[in-house]
Amino acid sequence: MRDWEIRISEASGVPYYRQIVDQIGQLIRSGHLAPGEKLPSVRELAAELLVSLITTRRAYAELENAGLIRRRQGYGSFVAEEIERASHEQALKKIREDFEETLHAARRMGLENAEIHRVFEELIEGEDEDHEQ
Amino acid sequence: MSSELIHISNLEIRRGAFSLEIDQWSLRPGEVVGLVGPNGAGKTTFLERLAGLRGSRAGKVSVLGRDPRVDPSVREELGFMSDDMPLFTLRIGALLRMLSGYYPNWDAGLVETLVEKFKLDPQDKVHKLSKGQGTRLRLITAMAFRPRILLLDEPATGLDVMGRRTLLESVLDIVRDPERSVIISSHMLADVERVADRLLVLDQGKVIREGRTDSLVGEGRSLEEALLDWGAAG
Repeated sequence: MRDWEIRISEASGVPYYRQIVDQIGQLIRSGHLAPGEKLPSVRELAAELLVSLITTRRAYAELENAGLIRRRQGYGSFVAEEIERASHEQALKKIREDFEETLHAARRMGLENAEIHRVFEELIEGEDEDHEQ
Repeated sequence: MSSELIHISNLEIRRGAFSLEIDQWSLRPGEVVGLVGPNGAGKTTFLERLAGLRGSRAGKVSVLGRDPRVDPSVREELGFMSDDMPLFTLRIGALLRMLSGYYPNWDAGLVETLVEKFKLDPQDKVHKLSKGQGTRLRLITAMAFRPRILLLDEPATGLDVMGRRTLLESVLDIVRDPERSVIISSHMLADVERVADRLLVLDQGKVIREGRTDSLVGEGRSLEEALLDWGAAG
């Protein structure tokens, strides 16, 4: 038997996928969901919460992107091991440092904030287009 | 192509002065599609065409590779529930037993569960049921043989909060099986928004929106508000 549950509120105005992400994220951070623990399948969770498969799929994708769960093709979704979560946090820390360094360099070269923004957005958009192809 | 459960191309249906036109549309396995739009949009007409209950003037309708109007055998895999569907005047239990004889896939366990969840009494006479009870009985008969495709036309009419909840549970229970799909047409927009992966929005016989529910509705507004924005509320 599972000792946790997710409550979906229709009245809150918060999108359903966001409610699922927040609540599962909270359960993981608080240790109610242990590393390596198997999560219900997308279809099981949808049937349980009475929300669409699209909603549940999106929630799991966000949790995976945040490094909180990992999905193994054909096996299901699991709470990420702490080491994986740590490495995700480390990745964020590292990238922050790298950006800081780049930002300092840009300042030294006298670039304006708007220009820096534009370059960054161009890079991200270029990447999105690559992904879509 | 073959993975699509339903494929529509260049469909045109005439009914007096009314016409329904759908260029290209398909139903994929394992999804719930919400069919929405104001009264007179053509939702029932479309569902009846899919069920093979009416013909069309032009275009192609392929349901599991066959046109139900031409080859009625495909109806064995199609569940269709509409509120004005007649029921035989028997007791509920006798009606369900009789119907079970027609369908090799009749799931007696599922029927028993649903009769209980919907709080129906097998001893009650069908012609003495309230509107809501009739709706629930029609739902059970449409779902009982576990069809590949379930078409629900206003299934929530006359249902109370608990009845609607059971309806949504049943719909999502069907798509636990990634090979089965549901099309649900309903004025209960919050319910449709909740369970539908994709929407097909009709207005005056035309498709005005089609696509993923979350991308169409967007964040920060409800499906009802979205329909108002599209001029398709009513």
